[in-house]
Amino acid sequence: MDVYAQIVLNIIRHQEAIIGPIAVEQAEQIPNLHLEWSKKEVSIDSDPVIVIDNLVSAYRQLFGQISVEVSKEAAASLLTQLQPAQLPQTLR
Amino acid sequence: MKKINTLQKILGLYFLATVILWVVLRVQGSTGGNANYWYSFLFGLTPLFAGIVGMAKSGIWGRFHSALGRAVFFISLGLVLWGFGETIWSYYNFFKGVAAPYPSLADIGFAPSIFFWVVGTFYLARASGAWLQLKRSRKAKVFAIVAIAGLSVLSYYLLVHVARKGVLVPQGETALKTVLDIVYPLGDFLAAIFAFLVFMLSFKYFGGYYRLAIGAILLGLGTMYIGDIVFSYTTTVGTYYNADFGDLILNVGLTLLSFGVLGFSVKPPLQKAASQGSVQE
Repeated sequence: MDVYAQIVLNIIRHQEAIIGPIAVEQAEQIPNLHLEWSKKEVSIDSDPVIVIDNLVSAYRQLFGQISVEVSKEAAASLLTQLQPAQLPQTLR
Repeated sequence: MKKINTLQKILGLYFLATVILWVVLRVQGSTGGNANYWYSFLFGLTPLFAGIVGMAKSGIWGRFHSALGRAVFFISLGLVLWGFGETIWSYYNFFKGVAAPYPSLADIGFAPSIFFWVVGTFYLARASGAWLQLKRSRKAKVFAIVAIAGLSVLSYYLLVHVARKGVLVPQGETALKTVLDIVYPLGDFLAAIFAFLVFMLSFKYFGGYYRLAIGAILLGLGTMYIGDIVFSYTTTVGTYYNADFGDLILNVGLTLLSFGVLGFSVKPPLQKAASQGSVQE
């Protein structure tokens, strides 16, 4: 699993601990993001930066800025593997 | 995006009806009898039904498997217990002719309700971002300590000097009433202080679809604290009657809590994101 998929996985896991199964249901609605949550598998079809931005923005629509902060916290350990230009806007 | 659901609208109308009844009783100067008992009974139904709905629907949020699920479940459980206590209170009113059955079996419902509100608020702190803020910021930690100390002093003043006239255990008062007079506002105080801290610490994170529901729960806990201080005071000085001003405050507090819990009884509209990064409903 590449680093972007791992970021998505961590974000959904952290959101799930806070808002429950809605976190997974919401992620399943994001275009170009494919989940097999029972196996904790994530795949991304198109530009992963846009997919992650869409995912975080969707959580923000539901629960506000706290969702962004939780997503940043979830992704923090993995973001160091990316160049600044490769970072999703919502996680900067 | 609709942020108030049908159950919350029904609750609003029901609250309005109970307030109209309260105003009519005030205008008539009624301080006892069946009409006053009906007011107590009717506003006690609000937490009972909202709590049942909240417990049943907490599964939307994973119930015991997420912070928000636990928050909704435990706050709802507290509401059900409070409504259960009020139903027993009304039984004493209507069938035993006791106007203020305090302490009584009704306290088996009232007393634990506060404990579950504290537990629920603890989990709400995690869900709302207060916990995160406390973890990240030294300023937030200092604020929390100062707020707890300040509110403790204020609460001691209100509980002992105002509500109990400076006497913790008045002569002739039963031990059970003394204990409950302290336990209720103290429990409410814990819930209110949690609510205050959650509100202050997570203020900058507040937003989204459930902003109103979370705000209502926090405000409701603060209102219940004031309502129980008034109840302690009026039962200590012997001026309590069903449908007095304190009962109106409790009605407001319970309605706010119920409004908040009912806000979480409906699944949110999930967002479908457009391919270029913007999010649309």
